Amino acid sequence: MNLNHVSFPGKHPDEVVLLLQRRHWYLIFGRIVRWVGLSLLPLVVVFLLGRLTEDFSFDPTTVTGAAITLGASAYLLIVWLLFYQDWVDFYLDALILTNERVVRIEQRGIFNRIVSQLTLDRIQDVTTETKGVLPTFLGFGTLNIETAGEQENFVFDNIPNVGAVQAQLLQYAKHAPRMGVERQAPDQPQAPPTNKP
Amino acid sequence: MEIPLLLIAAAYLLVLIGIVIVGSLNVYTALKFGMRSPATTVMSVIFIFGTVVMVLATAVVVSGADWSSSLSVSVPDTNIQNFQP
Repeated sequence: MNLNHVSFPGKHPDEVVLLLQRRHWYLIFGRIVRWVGLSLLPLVVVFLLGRLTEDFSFDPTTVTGAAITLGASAYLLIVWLLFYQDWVDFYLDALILTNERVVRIEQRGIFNRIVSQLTLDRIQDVTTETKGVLPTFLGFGTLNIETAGEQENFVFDNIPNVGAVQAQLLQYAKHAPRMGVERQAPDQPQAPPTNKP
Repeated sequence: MEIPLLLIAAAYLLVLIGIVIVGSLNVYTALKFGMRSPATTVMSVIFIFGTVVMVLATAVVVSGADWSSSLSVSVPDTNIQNFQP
């Protein structure tokens, strides 16, 4: 996957993105099903009103019909907005591995965004947890990056192909420069040349 | 109780203004932090297009209504003086 176009706040000019991982599609699929179900509610209400009330017939030119139409439209607009907000929340959450560090981005709302980072040399161990029937079949799980020192562990849940991500993280962490000794992974992509004087 | 249809339309407009404000902020967030992904642009365009279509469709459907009329809502009598056990 070509990740040259990927840019995130705080990215260094010579930093190379090696991996960009979002949460599993199953999460957004579940939310889509929920919002589609909720968007059908006005139809169900009109249908039930028609069945339960004998003199009810939906006509948007009458005052009742216009009021129901406006109410249903307002409701659908709110559902539409909440769906979009859910999508933004899902899509902007990401785990990014670069040739220098691991960046975890968590979007929790419009004005609530958490960006945490960890340099590769501070990675002690990476563990994965796949718990439950669906995660096992669909192959997603929780990634836990244990860090050196007092820094909090990095936890990123519902990652697809969690085993492959773990392997990749460990590979780059193993070859990260430690204690001032410069080492580099044999297949690590080189940073693009910069035109700095 | 009589609720004028114009009052319901005004309430709808208030909801619409709220949707436009919050939606715009979401679009801004998606495009600013979307890591230059085309998906954020596509989804934002779909959201804006869907909102416009929904509002226009509503306007067309209710355009034939009599806006001077009122909606009659029967409210239960909650006056304690009229309470009959």
